[in-house]
Amino acid sequence: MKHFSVLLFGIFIILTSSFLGLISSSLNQLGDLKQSTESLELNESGEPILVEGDPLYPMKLSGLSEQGHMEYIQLGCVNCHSQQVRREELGKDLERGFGQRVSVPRDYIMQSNVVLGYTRLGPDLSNVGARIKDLNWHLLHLYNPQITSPGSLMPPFPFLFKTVEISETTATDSALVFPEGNPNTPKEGMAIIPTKRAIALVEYLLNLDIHYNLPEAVITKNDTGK
Amino acid sequence: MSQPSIASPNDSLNAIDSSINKAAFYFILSAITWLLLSSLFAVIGGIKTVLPSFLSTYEGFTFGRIQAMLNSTLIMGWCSNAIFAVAFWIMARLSSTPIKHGGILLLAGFIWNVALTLGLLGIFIGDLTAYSWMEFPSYTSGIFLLAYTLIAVWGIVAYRHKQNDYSYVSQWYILGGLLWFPWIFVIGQFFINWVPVRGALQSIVHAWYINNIFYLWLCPIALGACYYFIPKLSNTPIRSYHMSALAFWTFALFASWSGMTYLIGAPVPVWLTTTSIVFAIALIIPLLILYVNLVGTALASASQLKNNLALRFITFGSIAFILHLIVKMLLTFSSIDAVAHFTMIYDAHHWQLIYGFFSMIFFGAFYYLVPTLLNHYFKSYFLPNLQFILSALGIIILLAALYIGGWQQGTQYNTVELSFLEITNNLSLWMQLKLVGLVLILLANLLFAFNVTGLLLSKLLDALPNFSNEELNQNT
Repeated sequence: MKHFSVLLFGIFIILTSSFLGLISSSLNQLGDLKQSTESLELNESGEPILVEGDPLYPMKLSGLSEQGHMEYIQLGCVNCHSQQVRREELGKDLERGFGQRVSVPRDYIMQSNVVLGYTRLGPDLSNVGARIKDLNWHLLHLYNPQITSPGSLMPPFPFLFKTVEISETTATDSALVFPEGNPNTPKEGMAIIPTKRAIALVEYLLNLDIHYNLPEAVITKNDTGK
Repeated sequence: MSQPSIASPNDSLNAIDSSINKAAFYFILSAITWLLLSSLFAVIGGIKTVLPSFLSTYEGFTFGRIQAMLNSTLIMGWCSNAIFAVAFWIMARLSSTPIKHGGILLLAGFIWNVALTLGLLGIFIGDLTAYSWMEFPSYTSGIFLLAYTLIAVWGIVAYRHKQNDYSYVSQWYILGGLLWFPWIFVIGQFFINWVPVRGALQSIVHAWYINNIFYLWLCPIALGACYYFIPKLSNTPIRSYHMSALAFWTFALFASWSGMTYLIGAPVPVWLTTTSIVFAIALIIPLLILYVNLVGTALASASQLKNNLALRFITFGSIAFILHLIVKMLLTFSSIDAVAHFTMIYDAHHWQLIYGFFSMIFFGAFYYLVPTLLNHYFKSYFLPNLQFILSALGIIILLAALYIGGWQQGTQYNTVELSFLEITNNLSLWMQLKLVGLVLILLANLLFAFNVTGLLLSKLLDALPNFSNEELNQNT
């Protein structure tokens, strides 16, 4: 049964080689990436070091954003949205204003789960927080995308909202503000308020923004497209 | 290695077949159940890309979760159960040795399905992970592993204790697939769910996982089945069989290294994607051999192709596979990638592998395996033939819609004057066509389930009146 051991050995070597070659080597290369300041300075012996006192990027997500990140995963948003800006020669990401610079590995080190995405039935979200800063817009968009983007393929998420009766005892400060005459506007005396989940998700989206410089990725484009 | 010998004593064949009978039927029926469920998910998802508000008030049916349930039922439900049914039977037959401990196999199959059910419920209530094709919650992975160990070991044991001196390339592919799967699975789970690596490394492990699940789990078993069934059904020896060993080793090595092509242009080191592109292009070597070995042999006997339904399914699948590999190579060119990346073309590419190749091969295998195991044959091949037409038509329409629609999506994306909303609006025709394809596939799969279970039921009904007689004969 000599060939059995040869066969087993071959089968073993094939997958090991691709594991070592592709995964282990990238672990070595990227495993110890750390936050960095926007630029570096040289110390006495001429080595680049972080500028003392400057903020470190990418920043850690706040607790609420982190919850929103979990909602993003649990609703399967990654099945339509990507979060990566590609090089100029590989498509029009920069020209479309999806980002002012390409994304680099360091941008993702503070995320518990990386959602690069593989398809763009919806637009790229790497910088959505910089593109659209309006909280109410995001909430309306989640409640029913047809209000803000007519014809969109995105499903509505009504279960992230509650319809309440306006009274003195219910807090309706956060109620959605509908554009005038929109057919989705609730009836007189009623309001639509976001749940905690919707607020967390929007907080996460508003924080998606990689418009900081890194030593290896400096912002090149300055117009933010729509 | 030598050609599969056709002359074997029937008694020992029957002993081998009956050793796996119960377990095989358990896996066949589970595979069919999951196949139907997955095609239902696919249709719901298809409707949602035409009418986004469809079922949208129910959180569990939101598009992202439907997609996750679709992927999981396809890979862990339909594909894996079909593999367990067919791979063991081929392994036992070629090794001329019965599968031992069928009872444990049955139990392990049950545990596997429990894990999958739990995983689907988990996804439904929101426990899905962020990684496509491995969305089932991490608490199910241990159960999958336990079940898998109990299942796979018997296939390997059958090969180890084979009763003949031959070693067929079919067996290599199946042995490879059975050994590679747990390893790919553990590495994926370990680096993503158990001890997550940081940042973009997760995406690297994820790309490696998807690629290997496709090319070192689904593909080897389906190719093993091709090498077994094509010469058997077409009654022609494999053309240039001496090249098949080279195809086996080069396909496994090159395909396994080619996984990072999913990440072209992504925030990962460029050498990673470049390496994978080189290996993806090198796949031309196994591609040519597989073309001559499989498609060449299958097309050589036109009369068999006309008369034999199983062979027709398997030939369709083999051609779909060759085309799939060609598309895989084309997608690595940066000028093509600049258009195709992030479009429906990637969806199309996956569907082509899972439906066009894998499912068609296994439909054919089931149409041969089920009557053989039952020793009971279709009275009329009208409905099975109809299923072939429906399946083939559904797949062709689906792929045409996704490939052409995806190319349009990519070119319009690179035309900056068009807003993103206009691009997706312009996809509506292709989305409707995609839905037509998915509905045809659902109908074909329903017909497949009807044909297979119908044959099983008619055998049981036939057996009933004879039962007492047989018992009498045995007693005397």
